[in-house]
Amino acid sequence: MKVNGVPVTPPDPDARLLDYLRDDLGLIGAKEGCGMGECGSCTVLMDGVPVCSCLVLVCQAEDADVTTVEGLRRTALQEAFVTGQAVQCGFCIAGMVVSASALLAEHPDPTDEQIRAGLEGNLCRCTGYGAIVRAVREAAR
Amino acid sequence: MSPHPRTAAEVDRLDPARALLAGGTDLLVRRRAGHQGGPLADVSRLRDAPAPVRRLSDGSIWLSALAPLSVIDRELGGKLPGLRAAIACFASGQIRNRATLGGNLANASPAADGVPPLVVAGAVLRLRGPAGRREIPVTEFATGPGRTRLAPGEWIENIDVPPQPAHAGFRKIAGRRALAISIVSLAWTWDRGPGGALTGVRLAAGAVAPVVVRCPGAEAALEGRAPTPDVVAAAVAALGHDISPISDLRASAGYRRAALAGALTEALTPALTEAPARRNT
Amino acid sequence: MPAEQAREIVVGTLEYVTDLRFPGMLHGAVTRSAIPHGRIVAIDTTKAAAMPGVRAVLIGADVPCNRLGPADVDGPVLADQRVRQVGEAIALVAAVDEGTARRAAEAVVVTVEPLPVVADPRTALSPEVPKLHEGGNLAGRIGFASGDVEAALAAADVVVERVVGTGAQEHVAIEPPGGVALWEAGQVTIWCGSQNPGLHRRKVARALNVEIDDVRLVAGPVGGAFGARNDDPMPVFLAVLAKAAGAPVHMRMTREEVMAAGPKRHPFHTTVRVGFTEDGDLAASDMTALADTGPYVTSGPNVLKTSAEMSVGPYRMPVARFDGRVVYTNNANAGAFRGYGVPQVAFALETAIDEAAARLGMDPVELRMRNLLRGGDRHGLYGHAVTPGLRAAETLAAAAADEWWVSRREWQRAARGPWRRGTGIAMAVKGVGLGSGRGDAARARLICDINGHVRIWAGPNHTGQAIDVAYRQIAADVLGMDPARITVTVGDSQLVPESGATAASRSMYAGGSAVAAVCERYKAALAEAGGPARLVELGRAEFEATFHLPDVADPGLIPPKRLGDHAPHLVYGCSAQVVRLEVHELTGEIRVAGVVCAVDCGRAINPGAVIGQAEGGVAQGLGFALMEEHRLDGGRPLTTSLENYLIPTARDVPEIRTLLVEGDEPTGPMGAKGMSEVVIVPTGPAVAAAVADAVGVRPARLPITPERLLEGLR
Repeated sequence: MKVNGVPVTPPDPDARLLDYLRDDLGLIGAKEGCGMGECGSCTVLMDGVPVCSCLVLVCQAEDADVTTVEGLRRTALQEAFVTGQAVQCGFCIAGMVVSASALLAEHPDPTDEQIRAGLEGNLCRCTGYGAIVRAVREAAR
Repeated sequence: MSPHPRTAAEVDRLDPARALLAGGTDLLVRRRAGHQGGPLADVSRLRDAPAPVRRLSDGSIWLSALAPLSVIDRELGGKLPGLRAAIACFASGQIRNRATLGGNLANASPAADGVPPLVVAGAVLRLRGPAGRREIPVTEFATGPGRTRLAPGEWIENIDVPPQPAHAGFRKIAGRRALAISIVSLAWTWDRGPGGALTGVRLAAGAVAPVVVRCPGAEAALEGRAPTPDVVAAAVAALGHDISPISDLRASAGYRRAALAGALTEALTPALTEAPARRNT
Repeated sequence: MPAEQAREIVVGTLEYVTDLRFPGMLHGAVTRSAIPHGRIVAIDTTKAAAMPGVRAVLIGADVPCNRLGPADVDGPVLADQRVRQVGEAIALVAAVDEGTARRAAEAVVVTVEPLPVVADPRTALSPEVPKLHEGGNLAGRIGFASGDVEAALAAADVVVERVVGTGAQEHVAIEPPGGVALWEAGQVTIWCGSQNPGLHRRKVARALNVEIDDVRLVAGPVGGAFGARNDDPMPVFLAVLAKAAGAPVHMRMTREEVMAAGPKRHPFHTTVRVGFTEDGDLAASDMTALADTGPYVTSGPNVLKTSAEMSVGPYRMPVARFDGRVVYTNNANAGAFRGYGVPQVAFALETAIDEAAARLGMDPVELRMRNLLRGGDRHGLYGHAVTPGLRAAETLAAAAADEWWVSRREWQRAARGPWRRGTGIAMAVKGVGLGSGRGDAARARLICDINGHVRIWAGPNHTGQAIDVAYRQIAADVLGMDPARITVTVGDSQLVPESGATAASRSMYAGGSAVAAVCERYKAALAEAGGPARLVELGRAEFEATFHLPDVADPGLIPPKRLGDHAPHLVYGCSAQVVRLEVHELTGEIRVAGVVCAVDCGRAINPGAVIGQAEGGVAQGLGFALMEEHRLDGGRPLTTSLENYLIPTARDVPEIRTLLVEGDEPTGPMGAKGMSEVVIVPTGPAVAAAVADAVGVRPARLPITPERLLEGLR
């Protein structure tokens, strides 16, 4: 497995990818909000596509390239989240940024509907999603 | 530590007591809730896994039971619009990047969104296991909630979908517009004959019976007829006899009946059925 | 201006309280009741305590003062005599890892003799129903009238009666409760989300029988609150467990635990009668409300107080009556939640006004507009004089001027197929602060260095709304300084002077005013001394200020000695909202197409943050209106996780247009006042009005699920 480009050898193949990232590697960007794939706070990229790291076992990612929010290059996307005031409590934001980065990789100039579809698996309770959608739109410019 | 077989043959040789872990989007949730606590074997990374989508020269399509739904969706292109419509409203993007048709079938949830389009498509499941290979029609696969005809150690490798009629669609009714389990779902296929008559009508409904069911009464009411208001009303009336919904947390049996009737009526309203099949309310 | 920690958040490096890790840290877990009501016969911890890796197992008898508040009805820290709710905490375990702690918590054997369950609040006061507390099942009652309501209703030309209900809403802050506690030299530091660090300090000190000064609460960074972190027992759990284990303890609740044991919005059964003259002037209102607080009192009676005050909305009501009761049941404990008793009564009142508009043949905006309170008018129930700072009419006018309201008929006519279209409007006010006579105050401390860099410690603290940024902006404005040269710290009880809760829409108004006051002091001293270096040299570089929220100048009908009970507000935030939506006439599904949120927050100090609060409040209001309801069956929760308790996703929330109504609040810092609660209130009734406009049926119950809507259509 590679995490953010660095080869790693997880000790426990049956651990959840989320726990390995957080507890063993100290990558705390991915958060646990539900533990069952319903909130998206733990979203990471696995071979370029967003997945809920609470629903992946380490052994399933053995050959994978895993990218967490910490491994995304500082991008216009993250800057747009900051300046667009899309961050309130921020607990969902790492997952949002990861999902949005995958969305923009697939649709460099997304419609609002595509943005909302691309973020459908990431719950936010603070923002009502408006500022987040605007930030993604801004980053696409 | 769980074994992780890398070939289909290795999967066949596993201890049949092991639960097979594919996308994990249901199994790991059940495990969290204290169910399915036994040993697992990960089958998500077989080197000789079948191609996600294979188009055969006879017009049929083979779908891999082990490929993520998002890959199936992408590789289908314009084919199987009913299945693609179901995938489009299946959970969330993250889940579709892991969840598989094999897992959706093997879980045997009556609300599984991937199943009704396969039922109306007349799909055949290609199984394999310690005792060899066999085929089973998807309509005979599930026997009740969480129960299937899979023998111990047996697993789904491919889903064989024969050539399809011109029209297909899928409609889901749920508590919200993403990340929701269906209250009811309806899949359909048909051809249009002269005068707008529907032929080869097949309907399948989810979450209205212990398994996903075909709706023979409603199909017969529609077959060979144009969907005039009278015909639609007759089909809706017949549909009520095709299903046996229960009341649960998501909805009452009465609402399920009404909502499914609404979905069928909507599907039969020409202005709406001619719109793109992909629908996610 | 962006949130202070936004840059760390977007790259994933900010450590939230549940991310903290300490050397030698243990992990905690809670043993919880599996049944709604029972007598505890025995608790056997021997098996759990003997498990390898377990370092401490605690039960109620081990807690020095086993109470979460001053009274029995506040509930125990750990249930020791009776359990009164599924999920109630019975034992705490600390172990070397989280898995071991959870397995040990499961291994605690609790023998409970089941008792009859009180599940229906409507019958909770019947004599044959078991009493959940010695004093019976009435947790509180507020009932009074400003005149002869029956006579006024009898004389009215039109009387509308509505019987409505609203569900128990779960906050769903995305970070479940948790944190770390660490004892050193008899003092404890607790890193745990809190909207009220001072209150939590007192709870910890009471439970452990230690001095308040020995308890330090660091209340963030935390992932959301919405009221849930007001009554949360987690800081107490962490402190008692870390003390017993003799090591730092980390604990976090699972989402399933939050769903069962976390607080909820009080479900209400509400009946309202509203009378009008034939010209559309309000004559009287009479509201009866029944609230379910679950097994413990928490915020119950205080919530009812807000319900009473807002039961007449922002309207001139010649006479009014409110009779509210809050009862104990074995359902989920209810607590503070954004809006605090107002969404429930506003749903009743606003839908009644819409019904009256239909019966009178009047436009709903016109009917509201002719009855709105203006400055100097007296409140319909309390009788206090309302200040000119209320801009209800301007707020309603702003919403009604939006194109989505103006063009609603054209939009409706463009509906296609089974999707019918409708547009609704509703409005609300919500008081800012705890209310008159409550001694509500906030404090701030300031230190300057020789270079003029300013450090400010202030509360209420940040739980997502970037209130600390607003404090910095206010300080920069008062001092005429670059905000970059000002540092603001919130949420640390050791450093921030007691400033009360991040609640009651008071943070900006109270905390911001205290910051402005301390900056004024500093500014005056600076002018006198001739510069920051001189102040430091003189030993006069530290300042404190207290801001007391002003009471109403003219309390009206209420005898002054009763103000403490009734607490009318001087300042109200206001919101009017337009909702346009589509209803599927065959399936009952609803798709919200757009929301206009006009909000009067006085001057918007940080407009981006205000818009964020408005959009977030509307989204939470849409959830309350359309899909969110914590459901139980005989006291047993049915909605147990985020798989079956649904909140709106990005696909469910439409474009929201926030309109900031111009104008200063004369008593507020830089002209600002609170707004983050009121924005959740009009959404429910506006949705109901839009549904009625679309299909001609006015919903009586929230949430308006497809099933309920379709039932109404048949």
